[in-house]
Amino acid sequence: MIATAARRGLLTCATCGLLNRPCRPIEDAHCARCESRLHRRKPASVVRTWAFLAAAAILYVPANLLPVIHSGSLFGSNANTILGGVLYFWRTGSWALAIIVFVASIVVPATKLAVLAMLLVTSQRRSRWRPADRTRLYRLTTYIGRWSMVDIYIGAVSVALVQLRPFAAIEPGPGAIYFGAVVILTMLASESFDPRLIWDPLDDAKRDDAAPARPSSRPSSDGAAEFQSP
Amino acid sequence: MAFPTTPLVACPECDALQREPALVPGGSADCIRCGAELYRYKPGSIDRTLAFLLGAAIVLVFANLYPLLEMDARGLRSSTTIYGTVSALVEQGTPSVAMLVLATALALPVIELAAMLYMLLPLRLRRVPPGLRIAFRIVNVVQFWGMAEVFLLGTLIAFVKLKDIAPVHPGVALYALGVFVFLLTAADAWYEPRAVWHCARELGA
Repeated sequence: MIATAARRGLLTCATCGLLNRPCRPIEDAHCARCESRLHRRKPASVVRTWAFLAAAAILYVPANLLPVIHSGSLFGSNANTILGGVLYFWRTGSWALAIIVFVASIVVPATKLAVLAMLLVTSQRRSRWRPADRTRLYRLTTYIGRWSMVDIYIGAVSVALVQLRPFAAIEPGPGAIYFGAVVILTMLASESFDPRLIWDPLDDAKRDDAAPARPSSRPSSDGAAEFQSP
Repeated sequence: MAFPTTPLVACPECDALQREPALVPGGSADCIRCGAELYRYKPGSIDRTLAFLLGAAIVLVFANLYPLLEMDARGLRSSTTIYGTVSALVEQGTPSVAMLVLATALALPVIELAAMLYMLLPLRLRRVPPGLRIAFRIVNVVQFWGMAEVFLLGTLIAFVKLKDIAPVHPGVALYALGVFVFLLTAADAWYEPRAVWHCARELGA
């Protein structure tokens, strides 16, 4: 059986990783090393993640339906949605770029929404299904989310460079605001989710044979965990 | 208020409590239950991180002074700097997107660089900077939200895309940005929070 910090009444600092033994009250505990606020689990993790996720899901619709870019020239003007940008690369033969933009702008946000919703539902139902795989999935979504921002940057550079009025000009469309908001909201959602909630049902089920929490040794003198030398 | 404990560590991802193993240089301690990397022993972490940071600070100047891309459409020339992308978005009526680009592509990477230098340079000179804890916490947040590398990818894709409209030439800043992203990523890779605290403790902080 695996001992957990929660069961021993210890708190891990979310910022510097130091394991702390808090005095009462636990609500007002701060890390002995970096002075960040300590929490047993990320505060209101499930509610906050759902809130960010719901907002992101709603904004995902206008982000994909509204144009992110207007390109105008003497020959007429053109409004491009995100998918339109992908199709443009595809038609002009830049297949690699089409795939990069498609994955970063469409697949990644949609996958993030789906994965986080699945993680929330399974941890709310106290599922014990494949916790290691779910943790790995969470790690992956946290890492890849930032790359969705690439579409915003492509737009920003295009807008700044193509100002050749009256011959050609590129302007940002309303979709860009929604798309940027979706990226930020999904990043906030994955930051709010606490992967330890995936493991809590497994640990709580074994609570019967858990030893009562007691100090394992005296605190060291100066507040820092040992840095291991070889 | 809290008291520190013995060399035990809890996995930040699954909460499993475990003894901290001693590591060989370059070795990592992974969680016994979920496999998350708990920490890594990086020899010379502070020295190497500082070296990359100082290099990054120098190329950052060039990345911001020179144009990123230049376009030449039969005599009509236009060019943009990194900050130029922000001001263009403001002029075109999307200040919210402009702020997003300013924060994630420019401001946060600069803050990360500054906070890391503020923390590591004095430590290297055997002094504990005032506000070490605050600088450490700033670095922690800013590393997550700074996206200079994604901005570089976006610029490269825009470069290829806009070549269809008119000839586009890469500016000095594009090369400088590439080097900046490489150096900042290397600095992040060599940065080890434990080395910071270990050093601060030796100095009696």
